[in-house]
Amino acid sequence: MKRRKSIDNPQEAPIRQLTARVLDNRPVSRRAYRLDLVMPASDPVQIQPGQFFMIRTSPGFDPLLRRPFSVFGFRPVGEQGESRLSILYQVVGRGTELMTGWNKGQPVHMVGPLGTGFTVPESARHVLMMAGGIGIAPLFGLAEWVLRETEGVHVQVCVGGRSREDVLMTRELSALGAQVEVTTEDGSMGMKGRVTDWFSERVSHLAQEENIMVYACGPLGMLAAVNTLTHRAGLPCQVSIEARMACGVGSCLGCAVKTREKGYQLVCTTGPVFDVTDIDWEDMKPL
Amino acid sequence: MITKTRTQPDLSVNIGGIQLKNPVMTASGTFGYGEEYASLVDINRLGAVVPKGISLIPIEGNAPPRIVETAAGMLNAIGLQNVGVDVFVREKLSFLKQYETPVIVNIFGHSIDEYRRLARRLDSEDVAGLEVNISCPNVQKGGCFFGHDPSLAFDVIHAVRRETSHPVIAKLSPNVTDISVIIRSVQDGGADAISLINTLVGMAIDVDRRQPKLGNITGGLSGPAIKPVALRMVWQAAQVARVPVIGLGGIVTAADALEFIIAGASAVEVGTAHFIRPRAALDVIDGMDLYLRSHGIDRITDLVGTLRHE
Repeated sequence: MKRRKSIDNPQEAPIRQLTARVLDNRPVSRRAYRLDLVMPASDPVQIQPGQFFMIRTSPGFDPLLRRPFSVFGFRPVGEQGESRLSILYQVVGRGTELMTGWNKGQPVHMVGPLGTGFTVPESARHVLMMAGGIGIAPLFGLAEWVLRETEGVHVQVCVGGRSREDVLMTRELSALGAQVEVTTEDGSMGMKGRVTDWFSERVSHLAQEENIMVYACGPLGMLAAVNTLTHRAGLPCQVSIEARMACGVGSCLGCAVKTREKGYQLVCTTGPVFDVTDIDWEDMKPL
Repeated sequence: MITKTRTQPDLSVNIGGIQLKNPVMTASGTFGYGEEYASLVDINRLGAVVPKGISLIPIEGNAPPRIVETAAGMLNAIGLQNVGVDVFVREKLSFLKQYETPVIVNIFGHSIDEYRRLARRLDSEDVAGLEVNISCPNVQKGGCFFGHDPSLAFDVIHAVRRETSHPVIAKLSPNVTDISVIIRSVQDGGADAISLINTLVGMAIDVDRRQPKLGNITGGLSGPAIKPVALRMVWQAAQVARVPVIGLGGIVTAADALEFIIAGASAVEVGTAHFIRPRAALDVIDGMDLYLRSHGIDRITDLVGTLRHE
């Protein structure tokens, strides 16, 4: 039987400043794009699911700051040490607007890999992921890792969106071997409602399982609801949260989030993955 | 006649007793405690490191949101979050000591006594100097900023001066009507050098929620947007200061840094630029070297205050 291994300590891989090149950049839903990058061969990186990169969206000062993007997919390719890295992004402002115009061959300036990624307990037999919209990005990498590196773990992913045009990556997840559920708020695909409605219907049943681990990524309201549901059911759960960032490396202290017992913690170093019970959800404000 | 050709321009400077291999330092609050950037930047190449500002006891910082991006800049209201002097000395300073680059400790307090105690505490530590952030509210005098009042500015620097033989740099606030008055005060208080500018005060509003975008309502503006103001104040400061001037505010490139030096700064600090390009300070050093070579200038000090004007 293939030995199960846990994700290595992500902070051991040093942070680098590097230039990747665009391989492909295309819309994958109404508002989301997928950016595939070729990473420089001279500088191989190790990336843990849940980590992110700070990416420059403009060569000048408009906008000024880099933007954080979770790693959606990563794989080494070829013998020369090249690797492919993918991110998903939604057009929400000036920086992401500029990204939609990036063409094949374009250099992309990145700093990373950053942050603390997901951990998967050795004992986990059932991994349940909940993704709201673009929140699928870091969870996809996690699903891929679990299905590739472990055996006997049932991976279940519930992907939610407003409408069927917003539901992402369901085919790709099925192809990996995950069991995929879909919810849409308008009922145009899958169950009508939200991911947390789907979860709420099952949570007391899931609570009776041993060796289940829950992961979630999505809008703030969704994560706060996940917190309430998992807390009530006593289910272990990790979430990936987002925050406005300037440096991304733990120096500017701009991305602080209030935790219940450890004061302010940084989303870019201690996070973006947190135990859902660590966060002071009442203090959290939407971006 | 033998002509000696200098192959390597001399970037070294002496700032109030601190000998630097080059005039490029990191601005406090933008380079963490150094360790955060250690894998990205060769710290040994920097002129000096000025880590995050330190207070007597740890400070938690402000409620989020703490940062807002603005046109060619950013607002920050971090709230001076820091680990406190004891943890700083024990953990952060010991990390930085493995490098050759001098460490200038940025300190602040909310009363004259806090500044005094910090200076006393750090006097026995092996640091290159203290940069005293006087852009803080004096909680004992109804929140008036030390750096806005000449007599308070004098009191802070004088109190620090008495407690330490380390070089003392007074970091000045731009939010004053007449910087020359403050400069004279801190010089009289015993400052060995001055650095300016600290951030400008600004704000931003979310028009949908009709709320400030910062949890603290107002914050400090930094980045390229403030460079013209910073440069003007450094130029004005250099006219009246009898101690060396360190210029900062929106420096991203070597050309930016050279503007400050030509205006009269003997050294510069690179701050917000680190968020754009972690290696910004190194690019500035390299660019300065190139400038000196291509202009046939032997020493960076030859360039200080050489603005040509009527």
